Amino acid sequence: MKTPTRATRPHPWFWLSGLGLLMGTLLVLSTLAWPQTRADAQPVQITLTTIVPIESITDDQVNEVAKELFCPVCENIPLDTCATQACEQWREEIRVMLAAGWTKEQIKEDFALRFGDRVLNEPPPRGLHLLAYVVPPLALAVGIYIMFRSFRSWQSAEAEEAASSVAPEVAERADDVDDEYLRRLDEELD
Amino acid sequence: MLALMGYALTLVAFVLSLYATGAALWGGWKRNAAFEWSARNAMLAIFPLLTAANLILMYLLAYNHFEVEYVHSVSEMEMPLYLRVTALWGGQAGSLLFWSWLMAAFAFAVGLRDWHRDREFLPWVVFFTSLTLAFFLFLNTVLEPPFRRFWLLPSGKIEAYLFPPAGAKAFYPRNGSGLNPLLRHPGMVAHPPFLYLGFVSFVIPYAFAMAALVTRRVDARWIRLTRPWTLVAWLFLFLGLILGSRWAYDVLGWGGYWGWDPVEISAFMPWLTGTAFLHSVIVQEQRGILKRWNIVLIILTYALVLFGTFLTRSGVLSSVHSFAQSAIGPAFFIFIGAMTVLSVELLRRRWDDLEGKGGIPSFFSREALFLYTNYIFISMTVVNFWGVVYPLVSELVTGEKASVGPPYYERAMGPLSAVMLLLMGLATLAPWGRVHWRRLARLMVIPSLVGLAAAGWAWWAHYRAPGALLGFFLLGFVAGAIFYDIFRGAWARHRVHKEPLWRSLWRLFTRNRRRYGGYVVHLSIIVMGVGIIGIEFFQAETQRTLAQGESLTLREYTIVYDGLAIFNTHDGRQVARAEVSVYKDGQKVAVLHPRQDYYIKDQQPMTIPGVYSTWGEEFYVLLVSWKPITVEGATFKVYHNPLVKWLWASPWIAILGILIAAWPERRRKPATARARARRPASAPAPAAG
Repeated sequence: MKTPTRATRPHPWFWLSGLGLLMGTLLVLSTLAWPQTRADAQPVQITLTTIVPIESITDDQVNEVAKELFCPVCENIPLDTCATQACEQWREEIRVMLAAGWTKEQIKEDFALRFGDRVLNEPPPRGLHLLAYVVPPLALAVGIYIMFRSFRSWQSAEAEEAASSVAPEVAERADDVDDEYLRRLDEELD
Repeated sequence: MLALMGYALTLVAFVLSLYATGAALWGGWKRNAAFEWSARNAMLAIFPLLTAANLILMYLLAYNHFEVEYVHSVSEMEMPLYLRVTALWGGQAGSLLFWSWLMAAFAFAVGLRDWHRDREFLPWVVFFTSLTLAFFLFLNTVLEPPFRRFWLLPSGKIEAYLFPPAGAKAFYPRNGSGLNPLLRHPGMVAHPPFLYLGFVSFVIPYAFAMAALVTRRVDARWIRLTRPWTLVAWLFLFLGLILGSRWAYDVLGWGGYWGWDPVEISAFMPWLTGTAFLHSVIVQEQRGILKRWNIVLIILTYALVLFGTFLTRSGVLSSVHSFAQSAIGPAFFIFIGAMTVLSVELLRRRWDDLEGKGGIPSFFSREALFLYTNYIFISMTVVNFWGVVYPLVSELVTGEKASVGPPYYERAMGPLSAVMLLLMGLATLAPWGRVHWRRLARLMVIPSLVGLAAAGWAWWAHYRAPGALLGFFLLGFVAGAIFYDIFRGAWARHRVHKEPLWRSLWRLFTRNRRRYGGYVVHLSIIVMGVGIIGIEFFQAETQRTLAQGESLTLREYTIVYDGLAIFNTHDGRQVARAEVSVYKDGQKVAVLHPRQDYYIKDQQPMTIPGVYSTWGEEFYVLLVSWKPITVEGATFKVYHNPLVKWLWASPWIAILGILIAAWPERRRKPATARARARRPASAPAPAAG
């Protein structure tokens, strides 16, 4: 027979459907808030005038930027490690941009404008892409809440059981703890 | 003729799997033993049939039967025999047939077990296993048959069909296209079988869980029956992941072991939920709670196994549109959906039967800590799942795909892994039942000192990033907790039973293999953690073009470019092989030969590093490019990867741990008989009833 406490507790599916509803709402809201697609934006035409000799830009400087970009044509391959001819040319482009005084962020922005957000190694935090950042912590928070509620119900169940039990409570003295440990160990090994 | 025979065998296996599914359903529903055993026998018969079909495909591959479309697509005469044979899992159709074969082997093994005590589970285990097998055999026979042959049509076109079209003549290509160069590596030869073994073995606990739901026998029996299967599944998946990492490290030429690629993650997610399942079933066995949660976890693991195969096989990762065009994508999607709905509906119907009997009395008890680790595993799964799925969501909603790369995962997985390590140590120390935090705090003292010593060593060895120091502290804490708990157990037995300490230790391991085998597996995770911290926090890299005789320095290492040789090989490669001398602190320690293999027919380069490896570090040299005419200048990228070798050592320890944990227990006398034997003659016997 169920206890009154348990009867009033919402069914776990209630919380799961609540989570689903919340996720759905967020998805719709974020989609509505989507400011502009990359297709609307035009690449900024900037003349590349080198302010330092191209030869002075090291491979390491180029790779530091390329590491944060994905190859625009291959699937999920960072630009700094992609071995294709096209990627080699893009890395040289980065070298020219660095020689022209561009910052890492400007170069990444330029690549994103030309090839789309997929060349960035993580979605820019705006519009729909906010979902990429919001959903995991939200789900984790909901998880903590569900776990906390389950805990409370388990503790109350345990308390009821303890109240109805005639067994004396295990004292916290060190000797008793050792005895308890030995008893449990033997129980597990037998 | 052989190809046709292979197809016929697969077709018969498919029909048998359908029969086994139907007969098991009927037998289980009507409680008709004849149908139940008939279904079991049909399931058993699938394995030899698929063994023959797979052997035929291997024969066709080994003997260059390029008239078979699949053989043509993944093999060529120049490939060595071992690669030609293992090309069985080098392409889609072959790997799906291989999947079915492994699944059939596991179904065969489970079918042969002694069902005497668990008779009611039989039809439903057969039903769910055969249903999964039937789906894969449907792919093998209808959507992706690997036995299609080329035919020259009267119109002059060459197309592949299973049976000859009217007026067509058989067409025999002289050579095949060859295996993707990236897959021609020992790591890739071993990686898919291990991964698939891990995938298919999780189907067995799932089938038992569903059988428990259908039969309402929802005690811990199904968990005890499936424990070895779950351990084996976990180990194979773990080994598959490590082998994949090693392959990436050796072949992909980016100096790392894990790139947070969706394909990697699709295999990682079932491992995460499977690990959570392995731990939470212990709580059910000990405390009688988490029954619902365990069912949820095994359903999730099963769904993620299918989802992982779907992700890698459907083309959905390239684009949601290519998924719709692929033959197997929609079929997979429907099957995953249908099985998830069926499983969840079964769970819903048995929800009240799965009510836990006990509770968790304390926030610091072992069962509570197991629950927290479950939460962390599921959080990791959520982070990974969303990272894989979000690009598809973005493409569906906006028409533009987004990439979710390493920063997203590392931001979440780093802290979650740290919490996981802490919980791993605490759960080792904490007792079951009612535990006061002061008691746990007392038990933490010695492991914490070990952790501090580990962090102190890291400081002394110049691994001084704050995150790394925390990581080393936690690794030391977990190791300290494990050894402290083992010592406490052995010492207690030694004192009480007056037996030598070594015997106490031996008895600890032999009498509770799961617990102490689990500790050994945890030690493998610690060893892996050392490698991960080393490479994640302290990897350094540099790249430069060198003229012959010039040098490049990274930390205490210097390489000198000695020369470059370019030559062609008989298997269609043009190889550029550099020679570099490696000096550490001025002393020559190695001569390395990093190279680039250019597969002329595929027009694909493959970068093979030269690696100088010690337990302290690996020095990893890549030949990025070279000047083709003079060969006097070449560009090298070098990585210094501290401690990474520890990562490669970890699976050996994990294998040992799983062997201990899964080793069959000797049948022992029932507890009452033992108690009677121990009781002194003068003691009164307990009252009957």
